[in-house]
Amino acid sequence: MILRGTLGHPLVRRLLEALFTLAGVAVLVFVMLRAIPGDQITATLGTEAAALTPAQRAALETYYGLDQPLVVQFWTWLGSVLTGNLGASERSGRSVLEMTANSLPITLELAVLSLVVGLVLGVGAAMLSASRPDSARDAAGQAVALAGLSVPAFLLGSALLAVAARFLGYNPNAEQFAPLVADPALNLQQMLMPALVLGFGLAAPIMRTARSALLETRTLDFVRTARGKGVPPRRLQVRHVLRGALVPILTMTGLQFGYLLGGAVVVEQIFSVPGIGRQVLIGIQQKEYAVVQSTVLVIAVTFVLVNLATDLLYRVVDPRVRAT
Amino acid sequence: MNSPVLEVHDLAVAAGRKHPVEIVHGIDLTLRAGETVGVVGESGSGKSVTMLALMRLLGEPLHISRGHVRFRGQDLAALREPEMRSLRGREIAMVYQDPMTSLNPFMRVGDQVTEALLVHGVDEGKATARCLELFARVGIPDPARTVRAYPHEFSGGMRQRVVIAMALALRPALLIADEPTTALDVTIQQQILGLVAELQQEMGMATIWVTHDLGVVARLVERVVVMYGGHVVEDAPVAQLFAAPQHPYTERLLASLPNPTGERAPLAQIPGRPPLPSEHVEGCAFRPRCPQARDVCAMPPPLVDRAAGRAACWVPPHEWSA
Repeated sequence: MILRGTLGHPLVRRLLEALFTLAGVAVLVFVMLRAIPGDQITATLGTEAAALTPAQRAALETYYGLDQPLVVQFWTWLGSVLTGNLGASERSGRSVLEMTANSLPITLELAVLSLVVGLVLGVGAAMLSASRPDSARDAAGQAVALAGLSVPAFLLGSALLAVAARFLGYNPNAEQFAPLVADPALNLQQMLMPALVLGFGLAAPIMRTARSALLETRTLDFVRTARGKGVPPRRLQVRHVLRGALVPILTMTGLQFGYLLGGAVVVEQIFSVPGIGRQVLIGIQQKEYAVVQSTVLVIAVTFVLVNLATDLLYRVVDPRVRAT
Repeated sequence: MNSPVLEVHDLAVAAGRKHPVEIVHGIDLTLRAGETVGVVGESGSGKSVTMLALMRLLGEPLHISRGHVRFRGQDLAALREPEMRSLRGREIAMVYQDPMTSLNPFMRVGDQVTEALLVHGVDEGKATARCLELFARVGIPDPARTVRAYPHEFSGGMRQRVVIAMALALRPALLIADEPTTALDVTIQQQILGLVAELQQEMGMATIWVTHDLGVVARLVERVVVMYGGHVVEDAPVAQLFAAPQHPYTERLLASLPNPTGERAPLAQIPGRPPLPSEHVEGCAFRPRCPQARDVCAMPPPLVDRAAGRAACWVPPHEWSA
């Protein structure tokens, strides 16, 4: 009875769902890497793998555990992941855990900065657009949003980098990357352009969602009630209209976080930011099985956790959800 | 008799700017200080739209297309928005139809009442104290705790009490109650009606009751304005309206009430339906449904003095056929 009560609680249910998703992600990552032609041995040795004698090959397969059935391989891998062993890079010998401990905070910093840029731009433009729908101002806002949706990050990023470096002689990203704690001033300069590029892409869908949510909320009875008590326009827009539109905006922002992690792969590469996206990319280029497998898993886990956090935020934003 | 608080003259509301369609066609309405008037009519007769026009709260595409709304010497229809805003909630307040949607679901009920005071310059401490006082006055139990609740934690009746507290926070000179009980259970309806009537007497404000329930009107108001198809068709003291209606529509409305003696008889109906705003009826809007219609009714009837009130009908009651 108590168990059923606990399991019935939406929060607990949501946590269980997240766990299931994570398990699914682990399986998917594992299967995908096995489904790609070639294996760890060909990846490591390249064309020379063809020169291996069957005995040598068998020895290597035993070393990597490739002679075991797939299910056993999966359990072995999952077991080591759960105990904090994410494998190591063949080339540098560094453990993936250590690499991730360096790169994940950088990507998270970039993500947070991009979110700030995206929300300020997106919600700001939406409020301007929605305040006078179908005006020139609205059309301009929507055109910029469309541009944000259509221009890919690699193009905008390269263009921004080229223009800043060529014409302004400004390219902080050419220098050795500075961690936030070591050199905050340089770090923020290095983060500025990538955050703008990612934030611009993020602002577009946020703007479109926020605009329609604001327009809809404006027509609701409670907004009329607020006007009926004499609430002045600015207070009305912020405390009633924007507050009422916050749930869809939050939903869109949470969904876009996935885009942020994916977009980070490209943007980090362009701006030489040693984040987790770059770690995957280098892993793929250098055919580092352990690095790719574990890093993709880390990204997936981050995504699931962010979605979970979004769901928890609903409870803060909407008192009606809090009651359930 | 004291001077009028509100004088509405020829107020019209239209939808759309390029090809406006008139929805309310030149309303006349006068309210003296402390007077209680009922505005009665079927759904779609333009009652609510007229009330929102008085508050200048019409949403797009509706707008005031002509007429004056004189309130304490100022013409509300011509007032600039910031000046109008300073009157809303302070001098003129409204209780809305549906308490389930008229409160902000994201804001604590106490904050919503306090806000009505804050935006008119009452300082925070005083506003909080006044809010507790108002909660107690409108019969919400345990104000110190309940001010912190959200609307969804309240029943419909309790929410309407919050809306009433909000409307009366600054003791307005005019209260517009737009069918405040239609969305509530019957038992709660009586309590809410009683509460508003009591507060109205206590504060001495002029009140407009908008309703389609003639029973409400009979007990609460001194005078009744009957609307049909965006026109005022009759305006009379309540006793006269019930005893000797001067407009066939009023007469038919009264005939459709259940018999008070409890005698079981089929309820009378008015055949047909009210005109849509897009339908233009030549002359009297009630003509297509009117049992007394004559040729003269093809001309729009003016609202003229009739007995103790006024009516807009070409055919006086003594010429009506049975």
